Amino acid sequence: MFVLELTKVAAGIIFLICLGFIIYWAIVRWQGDCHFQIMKKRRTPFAVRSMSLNQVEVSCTVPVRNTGKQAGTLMDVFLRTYLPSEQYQGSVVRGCLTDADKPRDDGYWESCIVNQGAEKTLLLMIRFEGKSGNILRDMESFPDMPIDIIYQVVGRSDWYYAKSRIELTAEELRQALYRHTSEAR
Amino acid sequence: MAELQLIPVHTRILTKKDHIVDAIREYAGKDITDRDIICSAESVVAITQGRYTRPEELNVCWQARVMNRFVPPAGSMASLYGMQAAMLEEGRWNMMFSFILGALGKLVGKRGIFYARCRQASLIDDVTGTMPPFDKSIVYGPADADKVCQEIKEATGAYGAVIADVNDLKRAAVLGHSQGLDPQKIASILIDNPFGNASQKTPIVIIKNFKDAL
Repeated sequence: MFVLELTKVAAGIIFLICLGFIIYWAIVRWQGDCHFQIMKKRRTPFAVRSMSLNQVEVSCTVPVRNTGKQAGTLMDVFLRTYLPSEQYQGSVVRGCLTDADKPRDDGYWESCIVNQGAEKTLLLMIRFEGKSGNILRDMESFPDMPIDIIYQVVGRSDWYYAKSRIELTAEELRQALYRHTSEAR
Repeated sequence: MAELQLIPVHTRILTKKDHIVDAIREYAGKDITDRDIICSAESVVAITQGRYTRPEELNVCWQARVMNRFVPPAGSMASLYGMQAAMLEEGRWNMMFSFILGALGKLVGKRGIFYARCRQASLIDDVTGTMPPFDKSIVYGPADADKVCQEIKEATGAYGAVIADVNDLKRAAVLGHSQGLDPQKIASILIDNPFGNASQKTPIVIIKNFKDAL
């Protein structure tokens, strides 16, 4: 008899714990969290920012939008270029990313809160330092280059990193250089 | 009678390798007289005490996960890691109990019970709350605030010292003060945020001629 009562109590406690979990997950599901999305379709074309005999810097902007149901914090955002020496050796490539509305030149991302439905505009800058003394010649063999935008998010759930890929194609770079040199003439 | 003046003091970025008393002496020592009050920004005092952490260093407990879901979006407790950081200071069960008490209090029209019982929850600056390089850190409230103020007063020869939490929303609170000062009065003097915004790097303000204005 005692064992039966004890079993009933244990079953009751387990039931309450399970109920608590179900209610918690229902709230989490209903409340949601922040969710950031790089709006790749709204990326501007790369354009030349500065150019000299031995180097050229191109840039573009791309918005990141909080499409989630809560405000979220972009703790860190940075970019990474993928161009191994096996594929291209014409120049040294360096990338930098900053908030277009509060640009910095130190590569540091100042963490910021992005409200639900709001956006931040990211400014991506890619610098090519030539090796031959003629940057236009160095860029002739430039292939398509993937660029990952990597961002760290903190919200109502655990922090995480995510990434989104854009591409600087050889054709887009050629057009940017052509536009710049045409305007310079 | 000399006029009351608020003088913000520019410093470099202070870190946990600095001591707030030494920093005040270095940057403001020559301007301080025995008629002045030294005011230090609470987050900078906490940083010099090493009282900050990063979200990546925190293991979030289930109590923080549950409570965080019931907090409105604005404020440091809306962040999971802000909540966890507060729990490390106040104790997770104390926070949970206070949270339930606070919720019950609201039902009968009594507000502020939670923050009155868990002071750190109201003092914590979540990520983005402090200027770089601490924008990625959660900064606690300062420890031993009254004792630090007494040390500042004795080391500088000032009339008094306070640690204050002031923002641009016309909110000013004195979290610690040396003996003999009226914190409400100092808070009302600081209401227009003479510390400026974080990027101005003026974490110390001297209230000149305070003794004369009494």
